[in-house]
This record gives sequence, structure tokens and C-alpha cells, in this order.
Amino acid sequence: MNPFLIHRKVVNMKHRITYKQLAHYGIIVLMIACFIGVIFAFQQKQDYGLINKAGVSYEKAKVISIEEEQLQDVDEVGYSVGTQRVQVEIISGDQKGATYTADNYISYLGGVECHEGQTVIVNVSESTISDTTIVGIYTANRAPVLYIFIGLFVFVMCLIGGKQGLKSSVSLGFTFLCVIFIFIPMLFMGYSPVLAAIFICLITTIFTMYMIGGFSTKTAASIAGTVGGVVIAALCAKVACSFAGISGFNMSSAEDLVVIARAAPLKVEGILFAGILIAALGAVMDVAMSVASTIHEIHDKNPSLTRKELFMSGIHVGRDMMGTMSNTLILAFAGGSLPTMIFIYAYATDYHQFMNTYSIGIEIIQGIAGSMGVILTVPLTAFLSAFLIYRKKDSIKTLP
Amino acid sequence: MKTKKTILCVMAAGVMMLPFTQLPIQATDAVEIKESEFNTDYTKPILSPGANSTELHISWYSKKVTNQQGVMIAKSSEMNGTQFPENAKFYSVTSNKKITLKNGEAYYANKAKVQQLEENTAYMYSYTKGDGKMSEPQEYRTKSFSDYQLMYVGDPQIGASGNAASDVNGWKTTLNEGLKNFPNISYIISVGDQTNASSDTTDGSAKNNFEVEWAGFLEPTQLKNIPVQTLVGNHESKGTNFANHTYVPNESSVGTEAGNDYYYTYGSTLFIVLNTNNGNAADHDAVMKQAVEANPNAKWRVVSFHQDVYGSGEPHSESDGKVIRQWLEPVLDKYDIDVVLTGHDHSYTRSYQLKAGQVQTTNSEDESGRVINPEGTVYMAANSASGSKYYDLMPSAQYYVAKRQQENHQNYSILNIDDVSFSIDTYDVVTGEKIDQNYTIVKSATYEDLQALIGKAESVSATSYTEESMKALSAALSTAKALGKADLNETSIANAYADLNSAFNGLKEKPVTPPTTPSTPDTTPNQPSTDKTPSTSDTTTPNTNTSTGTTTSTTTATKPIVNTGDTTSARWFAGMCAIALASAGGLYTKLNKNKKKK
Repeated sequence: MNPFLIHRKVVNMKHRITYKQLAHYGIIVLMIACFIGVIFAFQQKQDYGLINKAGVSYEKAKVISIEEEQLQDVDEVGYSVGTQRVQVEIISGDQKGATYTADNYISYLGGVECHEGQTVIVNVSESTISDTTIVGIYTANRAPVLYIFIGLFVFVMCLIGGKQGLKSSVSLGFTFLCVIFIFIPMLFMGYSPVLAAIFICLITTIFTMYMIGGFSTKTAASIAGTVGGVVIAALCAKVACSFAGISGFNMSSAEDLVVIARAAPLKVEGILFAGILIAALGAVMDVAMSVASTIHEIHDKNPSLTRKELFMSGIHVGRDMMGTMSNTLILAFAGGSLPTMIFIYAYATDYHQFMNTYSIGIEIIQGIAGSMGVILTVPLTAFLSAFLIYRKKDSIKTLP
Repeated sequence: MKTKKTILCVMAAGVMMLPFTQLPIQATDAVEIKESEFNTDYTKPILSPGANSTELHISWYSKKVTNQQGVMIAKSSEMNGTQFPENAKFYSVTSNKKITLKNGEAYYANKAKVQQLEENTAYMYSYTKGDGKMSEPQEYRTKSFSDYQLMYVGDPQIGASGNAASDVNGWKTTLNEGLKNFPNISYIISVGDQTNASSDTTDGSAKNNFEVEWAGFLEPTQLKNIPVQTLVGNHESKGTNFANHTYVPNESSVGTEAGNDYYYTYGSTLFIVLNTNNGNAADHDAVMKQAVEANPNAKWRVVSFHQDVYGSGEPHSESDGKVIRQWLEPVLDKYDIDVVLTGHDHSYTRSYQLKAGQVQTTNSEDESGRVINPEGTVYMAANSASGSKYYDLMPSAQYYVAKRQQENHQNYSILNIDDVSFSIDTYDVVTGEKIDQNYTIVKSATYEDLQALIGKAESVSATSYTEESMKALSAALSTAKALGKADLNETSIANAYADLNSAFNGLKEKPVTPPTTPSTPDTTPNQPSTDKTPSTSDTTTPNTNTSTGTTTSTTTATKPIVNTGDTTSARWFAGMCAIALASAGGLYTKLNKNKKKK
């Protein structure tokens, strides 16, 4: 018996299955159905003709033997560099069972040293004009480790969080699927990235908040607060960028995005802001739910509190959260730009130079804009929570 | 209560308006090309190398066709003014596919192959314009097939700066400078991204008409007289503009819809040209195998493709370039390629001799930048030839970098090739200076080779060249001749050969001598790249400027690509932001007041 589950179980025992709960599950099923429908609606071709990969595939292969090797240890990187010729057996895809001799170039940062019996990922090029097939070692097969790690994460979440933990992992999976299967395809269908990001924020927030909070004013307030918060983040970023003379075309990857935009109706400009929206979503959602939850809890414990008092307690709780949440965002962006900061430090880059580069400007604006979203979510959610509770009271009063 | 509702409504309206404020941004992401500043005629011809030195490919668009499309060619000496002699040869087109542009205009892509050209001979050619008339005769002068000079350039990418006209000017300047200093160039090697974009020309929208960029690429008048080897860059990979404009020899079926791998020989060099937007290593292997087997006696094997697999530019050398390196390098090593010519990263990099990713130290270059019978391959990455865009270098040089440079000026490289040596010199177009030392690969020089070169050098008439360059030649000549029997070994012969050859190739004609190419250099007022951004360069140690430096030039280059329409939408946002903040502030004070009242 999981000790963390006991309390929740006791609480749940008080309820019997009611129509409300049935409706709750019904709504979840309906949402999942809609979601699947949306996913299918947004699927489309993936080949934009930019590169030709006919005959090329990446497969799993087992190293049978090392035929030849010339390796030398390099102290500074901590592993060997050189070349290997290895016999591999393909163990996935069309060519399953076939054996090939593969060249393996191991250099700084590239390739992987092969050992007998190891599973590796190989690049298989089957010629479309002759009968040759070239197999090259791409990298180690590290996907299983990643899946185990993800599994461990879900397990720990369920262990500590019980039913809520399970719900959280479901909504996490949902968010992930939304980004991969709805957001990205929407970008390729020519939707404005910012609009698409707001749409994704909306549906993931609705789903997540509903999973956690059920059908309640708390859920409604936190959904509205979250969406408001991310929109504020995007607005702040937009305004700051326009004053700083930064557009989406100054992203380091914009060049390559423009090339893709020739083949697909991708709107490069908005991708920077869409990214800010998505990056801020998690923290904003957290703050909104915490504030809404607190206000409702206070209201439940002491229904005599006025709307203003509820609002102010929301603000007070929010104030404590602001600091840590802003830190979360700023540190996330700082972590992402760690190499840049190391270069700046190492080469003693001039203050005026680094402070005015695009990449630093974008990092700072991203971090600050997300934090602005977090901060302004507090009063927004507090206000909406208090407002909605008050409304509810009103309506109850007017009932006979 | 009413005020609160109003405030809420205003905030809600602000939030709801957000999506619509995106509209001006969407509407303006088309490329603006100022067409008026250069001749945007789509029917300019392009000369390309044929299957070997005696062949020449000519391709051109025409608005109409007759059933007698082709090229007329004769020796200049036999011409009667602009009249072709009776024995002029007529080569019919091998194809003239019809192309319909987005505006419904139709063109025909004529492609003709001229054969049996003789060495060191001046020809005049003219092609059928499709309306029953012939084009004005233009000169094409063949050069030596055994000892030749080529020009190698990277990404002109006309249109990349957002102003195609200034890119064309930069491209013209590069050709003017290069051909003024080296009038004996046999042809030009362009390693992809001739234009900024490409698409199916039948595609609808206005922004997808990239014929203008091809017109810009072919604008320099020298390209009527000098062939250019082109290949498909990543910007041209989609669409058929490249395939329509160019006519390449020994074309394979390995590539993308824009074009394919091909190969040709010039003199004793085998040139293999790849479209590395196709990621099938086995297909490229098959093409290279066929090329190598068809030319077993080639002294040099040169592969050119777009992406710099061993470059040092920030955007590509550690990303897509590296991915291609992983599957392509084993194939390049397999066929023992001497030189690889790439572009893509809009910065200059020369690698060490590399094999299997490892620097070959057995024949490391000496101070003069010379390697003798080296192992491995040297990988070159060329800077922009038009100045339409420059990229920063990586913060620190990769282990394979022998020399890298970003001075934010156009570059061109001169390749001097004969059976014994292959040398590379790279020049800054703006300053005229070399940006890297001469790099020469000497392959098995024999005493006979040296004697032949001495003979050639001795026959130079001193009067037609500048004193300085003649001095260098005679110095090298006397050293070579003084080579005693005791000193004769592979290295001493190779060095003497390379020194003498370098002096020979460095001969500068006296200014009174008119240039051999008939083209008049264009004046270029809008040279786009003479800004004073610091140049970044290093040989082995990373330069402190490189991590974030030179962004100013990037700004000027990339900013105008798109008219973002930012200002208007920013005003919207600022306005709404102010409204939202004001209402929030108002609400807050009102609530506080209420609280105080209680």
C-alpha cells in the first residue's frame, strides 16, 4: 500500500459516484476524442523536397566483429579517435538480418567506438542507380536509455503523487503530443506561429487544468489566468524586441528556417515569439494553478472572506511564488545559453559588444518576458478567481 | 461595478486582438527585389564546362523556338566582322524544354553542346534567339589544356541581402577584380547557391519568381565569355530553376529536382560535382566510381559540392556540414580525392590534409604552405563572392582548421593546375591582398618535369611582364638550374618545381598590355561590403573577436531580407500593453480604496 495514497483515498471515500463525476469522465473522453481528431486533421505530407533521402535509412545493428582498427587515445577528450572497420548485422527495417562491413570514423565529438556485441545505429544508403549499399556507423543506440529514464520519471511521479501524479503524467504526455503533432504541423500549414502557440497553450491548459482540478471555478480561473499570462509574456517580448530592433529573423537558426519557408508556408518571423509562449507556459500554468487553488482553499475554509480579501491573499501567495518562478525561467534560459556565456568569459568580450549581440538580446528578452508573464499571472488569476467565486455566490443567492 | 466591467472588457478585447496584430507581419514576408537596377532579362546565356576540355556547353532561355535552335561557332580569325564564315559549325540544341512561369509567360530552356574546340584558340559564338534571329556574336577563348588557371568562388547567392541589385554589384566587382588580375582563367568554379532561392517556376505567388536572381547571377558581362561550373546549393535544392538554366555534362540521376551529380575532365584533372542535398552515400559512391573508372589517368581528382564538411563558419560547420561529413567522408577517402571545394558558410577555411577525420602529419606543410605527395584531402570552404551575406566564424577554430578568415569582404581563389602541382591562392576583392598563404600540393615531380618547366620559363619574353614579377621568375629559375646532382631528391625537385611554377604563374603583364578578355569591366558604385567591420582571422589560435564579433555586418546583410512591417504592429502592441497595464493599475488602486473604506 502506498502511504502517500492513503489520505487521498480517505478523501475520495466521502464521495459516491455521482452524475457530476460521470460527466467529468465523459468530458475527458470527449476531449481525448477531439484531440485525436485534431491530430489527424493536422497530419500532412512531411517531404518538402529540400533534401532527397531516397534509399537512405537509419537502422539498428549489432556489431559482430571488429575487422580492423586504428585508434589512439586523446587525453583532452577522454576517449579514442581513429577509424574502425566493423562487421555489423542489421536488426531492424527492410534489411533485417543482412550483414555489412561498415566504416566507423571516430573523431572529436563524432562517431562512437564500437565493441563486439554492441547495438549501434547505422546509416544505410542503398544506391538507387547501382547495386551497392553503404553502411556507416552513425552513433550508439541510446534510445533505450532515454525510454528507461522517462519510465523512471513517470514511476517516481506516480509514487509520490499517487493518482494526481498519474494524472500529471497523462497531461504531460498530452502537452508533448500537442506540440509534436498539432503545433509543428500547424506551423507548416501556414498558421501564424503565435496564434498556433496560443491555441496549443489553450488546449493543453484546458486539458491539464481539467485533469487536475475537475470542472470547477478553480479550473476556469486558472485556465483564463494561464492563457492571459502567456499572452502577456508574448506581448512583453514583442514590445521589447521591436524597441531593441530584434525580429524573428535574428534567431541563430532563422537562416535555415527561411530556406524551409521557401518550400512550406512557414512564417519565420513569429517563431521566436511562439517559442517564448511555449517556454513560459509551464511556469505560468504552475503559478496560475497555485494562486487559484489557494484562493479556493481559503474560500472553502472561510467563506466569509470578501472578494477583495480573497484577491489580496492570492496576491500575497503569488508574491512568494514570483521570485522562485522567475528564477526558474531565467535559469532555464541561462542554462540554455551557457556555452555563449563561457565564450564571452573566455574571450573577455567587450561589454558593448556582447550586450548588443542578437543572441544575448534574445536570451534576455525571452527570460524577462516569460518572467513578466509569470508575475502578471498572479494578479490576473487572483482577480479572476475572486471574481468567479463572487459570481457563483451571487448566483447561489439569487436562486430560490 | 460598471467601471470594472468596462475595464475587463477592454482587457479581454486587448487579448482577443492579439492574433489580428500578426496580420501585417504575415503579409510582408515576401522578398523585395529591386528589379530596376540591373537587367532582369531572363534569356541571358550561361557557358558551362563540357565533358572534357574540348567541349563547351551553352544554355539559354528563349521566348520562342524554331525547329532550328542551336549555336553557331567559328574561329575568330575566320570571322568576317560579325559575319560567320561558311565553315562555321552549327550545333543543334540537345533539348529545349518549355517552361511556364507563374505569370503565364512561357520560355524555352535551350541547351547545346559545342565540341572539337582547340587549345589556346579564340572563337566567336552566337545562338538562336528563337525568333529567327541570332544573338550578337560573343568571344570564347580557349586556354591551355595542360597548364591552366581556374577561379573558385563561393555563394554569390544573389538576393540574399534583400537587395539583389547590390548583390549583383558585389558579384560583378569580384569578377572584374579576379579577371583583371588573372585574365588567363579558363573557367570559374561556383560551388552552389548562385541564387538565394529557387522553386518550381510554375508556382503561383509573386515571391516565388526567382528567375530575377538568375538574371542577376548572369548579369556580369564576362559570363558571356567565360564558362562557369555551377552546382546545386541548399538554397536551390527545391524547384527546377537550376536544372532549367544549366546544362551539365555526364549528368547522373543522383540529386534533387534541381539537378544532379555530374563529372567532367579539364586537362588532366577529373572534376566531380555533387548535389549533397541528396543524402544517399551509396548513390554518390556510384557516381564517383563511374567518374574515376572512366578517367583512370586523371592526375588530380577534385570534388566540389556546396556544404562545407570541414568549414569553420558558425551556422553550418558544426551542424549540417558535420552530418554530411559523417556519411560523405568515407566515400571521398575511398576514391582518394585530392581537393574538395565547398562554400555554404560564407567564410574562408582551409583544412589540413585530412583522412578519416584525422590530420595527416606525415607530410605536414612547410612554411611555404607546400605539401609533397601528401596523404589525404585538403578541404576548402570559400567566402561569399558577392558580399550578399557573411557569417561569423565559430568562436574557436576546430582541430582540422589550417587557416580561416572572415574579413567581411568578397573573396576569390585562383587554382593553378598542371600535371605536377595544384596550387591555391585566395584573395580579398576589396584590398586585393592574399588572405592566406599559397597552398601547393606537389605530386611526384620528376627531373624531367622540372627540366620542361625550366625550358618553359626560359622562353618567357622579359619585355611583356613587370620587372618585379620577372625578377622573381629569374631568381627561381637560377635556383632550379643550380640544383646539383647531389641535391637531387624528390623533395628538392618538388620544391624547385613549385617555386618556379609559382613565379611563372605570378608573372604580371605590364599595364600597357590590354587584357585578353574583350569584356569591358563594369563600374560598380554600390559596392556593398566595404564596411569597416574588423576582420577576424586565425591560423591556429582562436581570435578573441570571433564569438560575437562582426554582427554589424550581419545586420546590414540579413536585416533587409524581409520587410517585417514591425513598426505598425509594435505600435499596436505597445498601445494595448499600455491599456492593459493602465486598467490593471486602475483596478488595483480601486480595490485598495475599497479596502480602505471598509
